[in-house]
Amino acid sequence: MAQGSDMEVTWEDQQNICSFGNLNNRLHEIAAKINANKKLAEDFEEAGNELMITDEEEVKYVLGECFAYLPNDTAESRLERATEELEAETSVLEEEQADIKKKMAVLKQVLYGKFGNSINLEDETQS
Amino acid sequence: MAEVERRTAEELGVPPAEFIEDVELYMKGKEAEPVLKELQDRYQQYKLAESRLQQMTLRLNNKVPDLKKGLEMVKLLIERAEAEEDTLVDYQLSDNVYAKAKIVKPKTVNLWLGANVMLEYTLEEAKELLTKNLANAQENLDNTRRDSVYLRDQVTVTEVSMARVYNYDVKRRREAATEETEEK
Repeated sequence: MAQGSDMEVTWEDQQNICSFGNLNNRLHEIAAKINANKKLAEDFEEAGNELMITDEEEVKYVLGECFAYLPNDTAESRLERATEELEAETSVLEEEQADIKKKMAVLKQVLYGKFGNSINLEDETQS
Repeated sequence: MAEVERRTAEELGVPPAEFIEDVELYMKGKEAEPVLKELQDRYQQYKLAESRLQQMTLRLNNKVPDLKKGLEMVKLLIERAEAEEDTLVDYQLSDNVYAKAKIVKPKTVNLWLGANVMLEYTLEEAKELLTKNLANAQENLDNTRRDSVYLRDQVTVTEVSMARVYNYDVKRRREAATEETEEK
């Protein structure tokens, strides 16, 4: 600990620390969103399966705050489109997630390399 | 970038955090306590602004799906109207109470604009307005995210400053104590 007080902190280090913190926050945001999307994708898949099984020609489709009566095939194509949009969104998020993780790994190396045990970059919220 | 930062700082009503280049130089002739107290005050200020921003983000995050839903519905009505088909829906009267409605040849919808105002729009106009509002909401969301990043930077800078001033003070006291014992 005594060593820590002797450590020089430069503006560059400070900026590294800041971006590390921000990246970490964004990572949490993205993770939450990806999880929500995955859950939604599961629901969509289930709905798609039900649509295939059912004999009904007309089904009720949740739209806005109400249920719209739609022909089975219209509902199916709507569901497909919604699924595609969702998947596109998720894959963009996953790319960003991978990118952030890479950047964080680099920063971690730089910061631990300089400050050693005087700095703690581990994520305590994650178990 | 600098332009953005200045705008952000003014809008949020917080001064930018000052990075201490050299603690020893900075602390020359200063007591640790008042310096730490000032930093602490700043820190609280940032934290307050941060929680305000978080609330704003939350509100916008709720607004976006609402707008999306409305837009989907208007689009459906347009689709059906073009196909010259009626739209049959179960609509909500209250929680868990639904009734059937047949929408025949819709030309207009009423949009809730907020502040107890509802206005009638043609379908195309409604679509346009909702699309615009959605884009605005998304842009606002991006802005608040950028503001949050800025604020968090100020928080982190202040945290680091507090830690360094504190550590420096401990070191200074210890040195003073050693000198004293050596003199004896």
